[in-house]
Order: sequence, then C-alpha cells, then structure tokens
Amino acid sequence: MSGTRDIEQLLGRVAEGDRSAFLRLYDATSAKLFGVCLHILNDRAEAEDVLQEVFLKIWRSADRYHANGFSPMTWLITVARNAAIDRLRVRRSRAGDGGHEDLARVQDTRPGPESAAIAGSEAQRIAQCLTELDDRRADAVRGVYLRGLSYQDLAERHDVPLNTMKTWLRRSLMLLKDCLSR
Amino acid sequence: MSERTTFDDDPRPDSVLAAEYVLHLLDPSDRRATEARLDRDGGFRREVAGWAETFAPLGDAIPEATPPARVRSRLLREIGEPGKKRRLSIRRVLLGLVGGAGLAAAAIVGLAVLPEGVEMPGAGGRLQAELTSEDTPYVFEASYQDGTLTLRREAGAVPQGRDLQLWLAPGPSGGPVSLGVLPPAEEVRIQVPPAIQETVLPSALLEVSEEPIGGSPEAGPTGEVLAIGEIGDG
Repeated sequence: MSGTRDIEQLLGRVAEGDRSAFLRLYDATSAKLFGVCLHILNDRAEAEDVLQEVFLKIWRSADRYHANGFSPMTWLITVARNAAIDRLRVRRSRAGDGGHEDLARVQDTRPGPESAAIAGSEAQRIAQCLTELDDRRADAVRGVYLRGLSYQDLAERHDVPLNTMKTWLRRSLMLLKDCLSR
Repeated sequence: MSERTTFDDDPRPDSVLAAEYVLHLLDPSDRRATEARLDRDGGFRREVAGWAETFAPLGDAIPEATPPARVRSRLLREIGEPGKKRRLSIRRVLLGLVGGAGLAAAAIVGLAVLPEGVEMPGAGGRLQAELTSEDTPYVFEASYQDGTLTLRREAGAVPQGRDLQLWLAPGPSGGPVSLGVLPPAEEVRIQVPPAIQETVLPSALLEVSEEPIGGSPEAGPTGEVLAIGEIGDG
C-alpha cells in the first residue's frame, strides 16, 4: 500500500476527474477496502458489488474529502465500511428474524481481528481505553465497529429493549470518551 | 428500523452523537440531520474526525483481500461513460475477438521484445487500441494478434532520463501487469507471455507510464500515466 501522502495526492487528482489517478488509487487501496467489505458482509458476491459501489462513490465525491478532516485511508475505509453496513441492513431487513440468527451464528464462530494485537500509539490508546470498559461494553463497541452491528442487533443479543440498549451503549461511548480525553 | 423525522428523545452530548455517526449507528433521518450539521459546524466536524481516527486502528487487523479483476473492468466502463467527468479520453478502435476468457494463474514471466521485421503469426482475432490522453501529447496505436502486441508511438517523445513502460490492466492477478519497458524505437513488438495472453481482452486497458530508467520499482506503475486506451470490440 502506498503512503498517506501518495493516497492524498491521488485523491486530489481524482477530485479533478483524473482517470489514471483513479486507477492508481484503486490498485493501491482496493485490497484493503475489499477486505473491509468482506469482513462485514461475509459474502464475496455482495462484497464485490459493494466494492464497486464504493469506488464509484469515491470517484464522484473525492472533492468532498478535503472538507472533512479525516486522514485519507480513514476516509476511504469509512466510505467502504458504511456502504457494507448499509448493505448488511438491507439484507437483514429482507431476511427478517432469520437473518439475525444467521448473523449471530457467523459472528460467534468466526475468528476476528478483535483479538489481534494492535500496534501504534493511536491504536494503543483505543485498545487501552477499551480494556478499561467492562468486557460487555468493550465487545459491543468492537462489534459495532467491526461487524456493523446496529442498536437493534445489540438489543436482541443482550435481550433488552431497544431504548435500554441505546442508553447503555451511549453510556459506554461517554466512558470511552472520558478515558480518551485523559 | 423505521425512519423518524426527529432525533430520538434521549439527550446525549455532541461527542456521543459524533461517535454514533462515525459508528454508523444513526438511522437514516438522524444521519441526514447530522450531515447537514457537519457542513456548517467546524467544531462538530473535528469531533467526528477525531472519533474516526480513534476507531480506525480497530480495522487495521482486517486482512486485505484481492478483489476479482472484473470489478476494476466494470469501474473503468462506468467512469468512462460519456457525460461523466474525466480527463483521459478513451477511443475505442477495435476489431474482432480473441481467445478465451479463462483467468490464468499469476506467474512471474519473462518478456521478449522481438526485433523489428519479425513475421506476425497468421490468422486469428485481432485487437486494437488507441492510447491517448487529454493531458499529454502522447498517442500510441496498439494492435494485438496471437500473442504479439505491436505498439507504435505516433506522437510524444521519450522523456529525458526516464523510461516508458507499457501496462495491461487488469492482468492475471487483478491489478496492472507490466508488458515491459519500451525500447526507444517508434514501433516495437512485444511477445506477451502465455499467462498474460488470456487477459488481453476487450475492455481491458493498455497504459503507458513514465518510470525511472529500467522500469517501475514496484509491481504497478509509479510515474505519470502518459496515455491510456481501452481494448474493446467496438
């Protein structure tokens, strides 16, 4: 993968409609973004479809990148992650309750990066602060980020009303923020 | 997940709303309202960017996965459509069809640039492409038949202290594959290795980039793409 400045430059040229820069950006980042889509969707055909949608979105909205203050890879991964989660929610709303059971089974058996060692100072900060939360709170935050779980999914997993789950997760985010601000 | 027109009642600080936005937990109407606020509230925008960078390392361990080459081809078709913004013009000049569409396993391949005057192999599907750019003066005409690619530089000079390198995209592994550093002659013939031949197909792209002497130090192009053209059956 190319460096941050390379990706930033490519995004600038893509924003101007530079087709060759777009190809270069695709070649440099598509494996990571496909990995993210695949991780959330766990279905190659759907991930492939979403990846295409993601890169079209990048092509059309690269000019918005500079306004948001994200680092370039974070922005690209965010676009991919959000698109994959949207697809996941469409799939689940079509599948009805059965979809939730599928999801729970897949997630409970699939080894994930949640347990992998994380390096880097920003990384250590979030890892450290997650360990300060109790396990259920930390797992919920990771599940939301890495698996695209919704409030509804969390409420069903923990068997609590939706509003209770919202209040509980928001409390977790506040605790996390307190830790991160220290 | 029904859509509402107002935020739910539970009050929470902006930092929590920003985190929910980054985590993609908001329902569509709350999400739109939050995005409208992002456009006008710099402090909130910084809060959102801060959470995005904070959570980002959680995704570092997600393994990369190479997408199938057809995604790249489809994207090229999409962004090449008339009426969409683009700089590089792709004109298709193509005849006939070639070979099967089976994907060859990626292979390290040698590459032979044949001396001029070597007989082209006999009958078979013939492909052509014109490589151009709106940003540079370069024009190349390419034709391909039975494993031999002929590339003629119609306009543009070899830059001083740099080499020109020809690429096919997608190649067998999905990304661009080098077809070799171009000799300075205006017309060169390139023997495309068998493992790559099966990816010389309509809608694939030929690209010429400028690279350090000896060619790109990486698997793909590193310098400016000077001209690009789509192989098609137009």
